[in-house]
Amino acid sequence: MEVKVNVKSENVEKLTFFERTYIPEILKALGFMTKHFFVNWGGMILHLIGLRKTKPIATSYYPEELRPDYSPRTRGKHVLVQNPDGSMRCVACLMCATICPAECMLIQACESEVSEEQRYPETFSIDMSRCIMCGLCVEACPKDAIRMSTSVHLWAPDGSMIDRRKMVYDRDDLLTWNPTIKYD
Amino acid sequence: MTTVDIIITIVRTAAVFFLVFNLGGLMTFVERKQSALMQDRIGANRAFLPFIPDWKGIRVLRTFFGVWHNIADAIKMLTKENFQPRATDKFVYNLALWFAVVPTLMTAAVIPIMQPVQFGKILDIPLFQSLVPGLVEFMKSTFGDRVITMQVANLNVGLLYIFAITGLGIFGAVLAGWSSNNKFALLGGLRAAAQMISYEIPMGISLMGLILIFGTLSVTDIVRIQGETYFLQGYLPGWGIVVQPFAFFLFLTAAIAENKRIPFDIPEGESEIIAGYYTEYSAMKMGLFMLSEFVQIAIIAMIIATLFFGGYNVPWLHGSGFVFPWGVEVPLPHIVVTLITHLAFMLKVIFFCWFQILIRWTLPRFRYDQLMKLGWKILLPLSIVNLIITSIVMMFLDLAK
Repeated sequence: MEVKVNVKSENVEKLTFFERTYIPEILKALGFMTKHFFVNWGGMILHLIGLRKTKPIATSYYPEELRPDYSPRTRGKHVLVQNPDGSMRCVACLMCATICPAECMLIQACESEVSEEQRYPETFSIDMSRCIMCGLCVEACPKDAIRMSTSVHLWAPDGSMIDRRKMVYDRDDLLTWNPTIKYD
Repeated sequence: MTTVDIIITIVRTAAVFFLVFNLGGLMTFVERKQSALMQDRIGANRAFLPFIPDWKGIRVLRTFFGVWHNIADAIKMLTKENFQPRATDKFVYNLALWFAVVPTLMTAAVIPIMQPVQFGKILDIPLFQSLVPGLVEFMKSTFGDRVITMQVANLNVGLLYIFAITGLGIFGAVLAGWSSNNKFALLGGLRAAAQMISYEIPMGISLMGLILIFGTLSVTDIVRIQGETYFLQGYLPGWGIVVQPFAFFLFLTAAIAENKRIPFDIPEGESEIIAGYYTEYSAMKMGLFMLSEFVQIAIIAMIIATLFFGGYNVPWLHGSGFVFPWGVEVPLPHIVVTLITHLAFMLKVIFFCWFQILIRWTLPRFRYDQLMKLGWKILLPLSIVNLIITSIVMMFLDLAK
């Protein structure tokens, strides 16, 4: 049996005559885009020569410029915690490297001379260009040896973040948080 | 033909092609940056020249707003593998490229880029007379009183030449699409043929009114007459847009369609047929197709500025300086007038380049049936009506005389 269905499109707006000629609508669109163009252009020039604090475009020039709306509570800086005597808490159990979803950690264990049971990391490097700041390494650590501190590390005003080889921070960098550039 | 004539020809040709090539090359930069600003983005800004220092921590001077991306593009195009499918028709495949690029560049030959120059007079101002008197005398003795039009060829059929040469551009698209031995390319070529032939008709007819009014086919004369005609006691310059406002919009629409860019990019439509007729071209061959497209933006801007906006003319600027209708006269030396006319021409061209890119980044693509409907059912009848009305008005004006 054939079923006849009369569908009335109630949701479709009827266009007026002027809208159907498209010309007023096209002019409206061109005016809208022109406004955007000149507002953004003028705003960027004023920002560049220092007459305007904020940019009209939200995008930041990333490695040279920090986003202005970072929360002060952002935790984006790995710290290797030290004992009061200055030795590392890390025992190189590789829990953090195992759970790391970005596989950005490289740890080489070494036997400690102090005690038979304890190990310590000979190498402990984090590739900051791969880290996704998930904090799982902090959760996984049984010794509370790695923490995230409040800062944004993935930004260096000198633009050294442009080179990915300079973004691998090693053990001493993470202990003292004074990253030194290893390559030139 | 004397040596002076040959030198003049070489200088004029070099000047026009320098202008056209550089405008076309800069269009890639302008398109990137302008589309970014229109869409609240920053746009390309990473390519840099290493010997330019940083400034204020922002590499603005080093990257110079992304203008070096042009050079990076060119280097990339030139060093890529020049891949050619084995099943292509090799001769036609390479010939199509010539058809795409050469006519585009040839169109600019009849466009005057500044007012006719008297080289004998151009250095004849006190500054040069005191600095280099020998050079002034040399120019005077070499060129005398000759008035030299600043275009490659002063043809008396200039408008017909423009149409003839732009018509050749169709061959580029069609042959490229056919010889590539690719379904998408063939589709693109067919679409390009249908679209470009459809839009060439309203493009031609919309300019008939101008030919009727100015009574000449020579682009040089059209520009000269536009500069000499004034309406409303000399307050309104008699440019093409004033006498044929309707034809301007028809011509603009048809010209953008001829250029095969959005909203008329049916032959290339990335989302439908990859890159259309130049799908199988790679490296600098593809780059030349792109370059000819960008050069064509500049050429269309030049044609519109020349035919409808007075070319190099500035309102009330005559050969000897400004003569305002309210009675003020500002005499200027010949070299200053020449530079002002060139500047005016360039400003008009740059404005229309900007306007074309504005349209390209604002409007969505037409469907194929909409495109054909616009061409045949709207633009063609409107241009014919425009021509008829213009003819009637011209006839009555002639009778009134």
